[in-house]
Amino acid sequence: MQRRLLLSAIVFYLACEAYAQPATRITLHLPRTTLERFIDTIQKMGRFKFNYPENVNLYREISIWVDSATFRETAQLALKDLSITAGFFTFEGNEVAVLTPIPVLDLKGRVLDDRGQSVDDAEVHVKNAQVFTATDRHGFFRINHLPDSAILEVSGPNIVPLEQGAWGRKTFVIIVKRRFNSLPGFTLAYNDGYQRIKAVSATGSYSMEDQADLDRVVGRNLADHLNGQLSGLTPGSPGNSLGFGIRGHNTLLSSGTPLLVWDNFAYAGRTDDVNIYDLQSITALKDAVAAGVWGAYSGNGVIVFTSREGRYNQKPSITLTMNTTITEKPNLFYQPRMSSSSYIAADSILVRHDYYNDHIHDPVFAINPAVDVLWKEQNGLLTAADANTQLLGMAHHNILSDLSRYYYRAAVNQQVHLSTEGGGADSKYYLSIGYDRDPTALVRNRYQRVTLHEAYTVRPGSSNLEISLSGNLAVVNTRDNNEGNVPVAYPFASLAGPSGQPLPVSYMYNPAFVDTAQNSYPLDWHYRPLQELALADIRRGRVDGHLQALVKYQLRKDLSAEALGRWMKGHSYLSNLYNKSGFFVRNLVNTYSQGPAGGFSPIPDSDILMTADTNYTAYNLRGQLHFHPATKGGNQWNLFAGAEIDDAGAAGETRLIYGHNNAVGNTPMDPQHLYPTRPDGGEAKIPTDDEFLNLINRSISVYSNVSYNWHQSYTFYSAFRMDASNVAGVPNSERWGPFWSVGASHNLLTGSDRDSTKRWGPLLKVRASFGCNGNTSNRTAYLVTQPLVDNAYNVRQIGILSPPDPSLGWEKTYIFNAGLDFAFFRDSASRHGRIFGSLDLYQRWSVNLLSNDSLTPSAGVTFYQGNTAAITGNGIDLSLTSINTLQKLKWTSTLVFSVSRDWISRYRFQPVSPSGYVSGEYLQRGKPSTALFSYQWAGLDPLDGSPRGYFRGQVSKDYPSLMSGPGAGLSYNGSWQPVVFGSVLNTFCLGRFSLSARVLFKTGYYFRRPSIDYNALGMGISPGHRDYDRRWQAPGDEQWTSVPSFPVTMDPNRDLFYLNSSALVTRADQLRWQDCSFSYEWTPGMSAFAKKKAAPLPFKKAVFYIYVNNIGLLWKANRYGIDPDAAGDGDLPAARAYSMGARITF
Amino acid sequence: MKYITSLVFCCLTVLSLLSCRKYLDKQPDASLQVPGSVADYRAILDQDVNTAQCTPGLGPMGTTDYWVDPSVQSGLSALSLGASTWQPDLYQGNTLSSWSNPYTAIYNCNVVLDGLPQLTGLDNADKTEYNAVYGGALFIRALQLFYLEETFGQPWRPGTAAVDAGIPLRLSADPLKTTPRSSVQAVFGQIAADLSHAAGLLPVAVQVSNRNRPCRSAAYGLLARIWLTQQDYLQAKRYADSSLLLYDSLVDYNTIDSTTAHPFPTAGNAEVLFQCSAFNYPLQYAKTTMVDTTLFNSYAPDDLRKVVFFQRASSGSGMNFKGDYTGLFYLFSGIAVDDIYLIRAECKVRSGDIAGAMSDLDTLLARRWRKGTFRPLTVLDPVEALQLVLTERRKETLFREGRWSDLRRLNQNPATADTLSRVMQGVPYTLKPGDVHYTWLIPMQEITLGGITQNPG
Repeated sequence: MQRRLLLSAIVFYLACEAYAQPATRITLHLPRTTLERFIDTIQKMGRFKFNYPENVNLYREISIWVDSATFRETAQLALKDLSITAGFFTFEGNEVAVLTPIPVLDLKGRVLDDRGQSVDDAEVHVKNAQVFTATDRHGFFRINHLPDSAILEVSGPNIVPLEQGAWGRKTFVIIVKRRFNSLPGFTLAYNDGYQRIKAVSATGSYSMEDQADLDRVVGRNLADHLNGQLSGLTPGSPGNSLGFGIRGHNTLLSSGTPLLVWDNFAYAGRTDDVNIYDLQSITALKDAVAAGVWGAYSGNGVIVFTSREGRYNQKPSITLTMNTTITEKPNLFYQPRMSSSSYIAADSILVRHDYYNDHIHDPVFAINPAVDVLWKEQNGLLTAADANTQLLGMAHHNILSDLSRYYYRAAVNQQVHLSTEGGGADSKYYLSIGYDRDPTALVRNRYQRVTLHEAYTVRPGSSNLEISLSGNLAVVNTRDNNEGNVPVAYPFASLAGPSGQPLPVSYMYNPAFVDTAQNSYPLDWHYRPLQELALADIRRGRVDGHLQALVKYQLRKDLSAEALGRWMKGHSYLSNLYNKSGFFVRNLVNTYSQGPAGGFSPIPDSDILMTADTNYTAYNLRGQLHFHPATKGGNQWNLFAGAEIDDAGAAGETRLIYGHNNAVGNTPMDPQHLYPTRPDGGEAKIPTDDEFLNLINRSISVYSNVSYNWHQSYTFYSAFRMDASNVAGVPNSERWGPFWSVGASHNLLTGSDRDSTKRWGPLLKVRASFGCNGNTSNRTAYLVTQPLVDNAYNVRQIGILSPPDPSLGWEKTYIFNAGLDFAFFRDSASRHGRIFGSLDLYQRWSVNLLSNDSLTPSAGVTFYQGNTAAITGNGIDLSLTSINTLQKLKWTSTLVFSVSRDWISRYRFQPVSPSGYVSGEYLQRGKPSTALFSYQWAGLDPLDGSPRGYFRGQVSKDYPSLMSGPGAGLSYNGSWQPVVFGSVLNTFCLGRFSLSARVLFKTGYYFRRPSIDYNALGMGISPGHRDYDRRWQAPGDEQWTSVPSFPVTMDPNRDLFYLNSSALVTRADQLRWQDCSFSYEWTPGMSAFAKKKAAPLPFKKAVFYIYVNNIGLLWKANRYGIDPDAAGDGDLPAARAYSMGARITF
Repeated sequence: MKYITSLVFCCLTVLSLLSCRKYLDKQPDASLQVPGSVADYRAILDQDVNTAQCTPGLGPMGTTDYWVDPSVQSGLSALSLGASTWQPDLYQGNTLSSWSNPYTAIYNCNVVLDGLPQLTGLDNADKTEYNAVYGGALFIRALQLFYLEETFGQPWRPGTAAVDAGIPLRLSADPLKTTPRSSVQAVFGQIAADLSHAAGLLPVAVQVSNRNRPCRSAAYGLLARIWLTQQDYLQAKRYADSSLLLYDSLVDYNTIDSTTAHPFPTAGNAEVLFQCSAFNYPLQYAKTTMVDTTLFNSYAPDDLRKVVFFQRASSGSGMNFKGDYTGLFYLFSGIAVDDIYLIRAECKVRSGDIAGAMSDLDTLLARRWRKGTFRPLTVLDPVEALQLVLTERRKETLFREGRWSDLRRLNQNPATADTLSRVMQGVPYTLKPGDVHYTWLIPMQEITLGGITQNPG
């Protein structure tokens, strides 16, 4: 080395001699050259000398572009991307650079696809080394201490795998090919509303639907897109507006709806305002680590909607989605109602027993026409023959035919969605407009929606600053003129005459009275359902919008700060215009009419308008810091902290305006004046519906989490969050609820190995998490009072509505989750394995739950709710995908399987009587929160066919005791919500054709099937039940039926006991063919055939599809012909819907 | 620049956290009203439930001032039958309004007592009203505690009051605070202290237009009653004096229209210092409930109470009581001047001032007898005088809540003790002096949930 230097110096000296004017500044333009040529060129300039050992690779490609630079600057620039360092010194007037090769280097790279779009979901492995990483959202990745000669393997769900040598470069771009018709994906990152969590190191439990899943289902409703498609998503409780819960029930009195997050902030608006086509994914956050980032609002799990936002370096594209759905006309005859002839037969029994004697002349009892005829016949006012003729006419008519004809139709629903997206190096955008038009299955009803969505992101100049602005606007208006039913119970009511003219029915008043009322009342008093339908004018609508801004600034290489804000505003309205010809107005005018025939009425004979308006505004503001210090020896720290402040307010009012559209103008009513009312002779005030609403919810949250990753093998995670709101906790110290979680994961088998034959070995990751999530209620900790009417001395008095509860706290759910992510049979064709998925087992303890409680009577508070109950639960979530064939025909099966069980572990309130349990009002310790209880059934009395139960172990017919006595027999039947549920999706792809079908299953639950309620039948408020025909009629019938006999005297308790007895509890298990999708995808250039075509097609890709939803039940456990999903009184099964559509990308 | 940005960011976070207390104090729902003024607390105290049909009313069921028409005896509810024949096992499982209603009133008072001191920025006018409301809450709480004690707590026995079990003393508005039973002495101590405190705060004048609101003389009157029950006749006389000094109007029954269904007005009875009524068990006002015949016959023909208090039952077999000072068919449990006169008379007899006692009786009875028929009393024998005072006391305060309390006190002394007896459905029942059933059973719910000890029985 020394000798060589000396030699160089001599050579250099000689060279100086040769060139009289040696250069001190270098100007050199060599865009593509080798290191060797560079050295050669510089040395020829004189006074500059390179000195290097033999192992320096002189054939590396470099670029150099300098003007009048020093030697040192030039050399450093040239070596920038090479694994070579240089030392400089001056020797005898010459500037000398000594080059030393570095054995390892820190590599920074970026993965782009062949269209220049960044690939954010690629994995980068170092061949033959247990080192791998994944690209970030801009396609960037970073590997430290990479050997000079390393080879990188790039793979991902939607790209063709690629190997590329690092060749000693410190930065470079890898171009990969996109793979179309991609197979079901292995998710690489989840969005939790705060940040993106890499799946490879996630410690929490997530499940996700990507855009392909969302596109597969045609439906406006979010529920259609969630149903059976996410593991851990269970059918929701009645108070759950979403219809789905996550992993069962964690609360008793508070809302059980999972928190909805739209992009970055909690979304309290209607899910209906979210256009599914604007979303790129839906993610369910299920355990303490995943959901816990939302602290006090995460007790029911979290569902995150992620909107599309365009991509950097993406060519602009326009996508048009159009579809039409035809929904079958509902089958009203599904309802197990009594036939007209049975109903008349029942009426005749009642008339024979003089049941209607008190009512037949009562003007306010709506007697049905058959009773009228029967009574007249019995009292000799009608001959038996005449009566029979009239009754026969009635028996042949069924109101369901009229309803089906005049109220229902097949619905043709249309959806159009147009979006454009793209991006340059500095910006990206997404813009869309959607239009939905659904006339619905009910005549005179309509639904219309227009949505606008926008997202624009810019990172001006440097990539240190990123600003994005996004917004959504939804305008919805509906007409709700048709309720789909008429308020008439008797089944032979005829709605239209021969020429279709509306006919009156017996409603509210005795028809005999109504017919003569014309003479003594100002207006006609008949009720004609079809006229009501034609006059109804009920409009609902809303305009909702939000704007969201995000500013992200990279403060340092390892520290970034983000500020986010959202402003939401909305207005919703309801207007119900009661036409003056309609029954509502006529009835009011008549009821309040004063004086003799046709006298004065304080109600003007003109339209009445009911309006309800609500305005709501919400602000959210968040600031967060993200610190990820430089890695050292394969370790990675990630620190994340922030704070958020939320304010949501709603104000509204309801008004009832009399004299609307009147020549005189609106007529104010005296709300205090007591008027005599007719025909019942009572006294009443004129109804004024004026109500006001003013709600404000405020909350503040601070949160932080830390994760530590060790050699891509172990990940440790911990999070802490504090929430406070203006609802819970009066003393400020108790307002803050602390929530926390810890988690860890370990890659047991990472797949890549030094031995290349084992390279495609199984992937196996175990993870565990534990933590505490919270749930809020709308209960307040303040002492709340309500005004009462003045006291006996006519002074103001106010009562205490709810006592102050200084101990009111957050409901808390502790969840332990153990999970396993796996992928087996991996090969180069299926990077993520032929079988892959995840399995989660969890145990949860929901404590501090608000529940009804009985305090000691000396507390002086009769009704009290406190944080006193607890639910324990556990379950399994399995999601498993198997690629069955991968040749020409690709057949993939995906199983989503969940088990969710729970039981009440702490509940202080115990009612004295079993009716509290049967009604579901009270819960029993040790039983599920969804327990179905019934009265023990002792069969029918063989003597008279009355239902019987057990009282203190003895067969009894004492119904009040059977329901409310402390010794009454009570049966626990099981849960009314499925314990096991899930779905199987099979997808077949053959070339450009794809066919898929999903089957849902739900088991381990029960329902109470409706049956005949004799008392309601007699009162004329029930259309009866088909079970009537199976009733006990003679001794011996009890052998084959459990339907009680027709009672001699009406006893509501007898019916109540029977309807809630275990005789009617039925297994609800079912297997349902939910949907089927058939699609044809056309990508020009995808096949050889397209290439032959000379004329280029105007689009990049087109997908045509046919989709059938709600296909039907395959199997059900009950033998009563009841669809368990439509088991309630009056329920109709979801109608089958056929869709046809296209998605074209230009 | 970078550091300034992060500094500003951190400062903003800290600032927002500091100001969050105020931010989060906002009411979540405007339709919910949180009391925030003296007037609001006045309205809470003015609730009918604090004074109407709220005192236990169970004691009067145990007196033998009435009998039940045999024809309806078999139809009595378990509670009526059990209470009227001192068989506590017949009602103990029930949620007893006699227990919970007074405690609801006590809870309302506690809300007022806890909430008022937290008000700020009061002016002088507010201060006067503040005192009246605060004193009123103390008074009503004391009244309810007294009747509860006299129903469910052991009777005051001079020797053992410090160890006998009284009732739970609920003195805080926190419904979750479990409260054990205090000793009888502690209960009376609390009541006396509260009333003395209240007397200093309450308005001097009788609240003529609103007798649901107590006045100072009512507080003294109740204090007299408390000390009478504690058999401290000196103290009782002192407070009776104080009360009568402030207000001593008596109604002349000659001015009362005896023919009406309810001869006394609901609001304007000049004798009532504080209006309050007992829980309305149907047995107490049913037309089939008759006044004890001996008691009825003890009224002299010229005694107007014979027609003002009673009317022949529609069934014709006895007399119904109609002389309730509530003006309705509910039993009176407030404070009235006639009672204070009788307390003072008894105290005077017991301290040897027979003449003074007779003078008080004269003052009272002169307004009860037909005009010009009453002759002043001339009894000189102390035993006879005491008997006279007690008889007049029974005749004046029958069918009132306080009667049970008198029985509990008087049966401790053999001279004034009586064995109560009743025949119900052909079965004779008796209640001997000192019987454990002079103290009613506490509802089971309180025993199980509150973990307190039950009374013997």
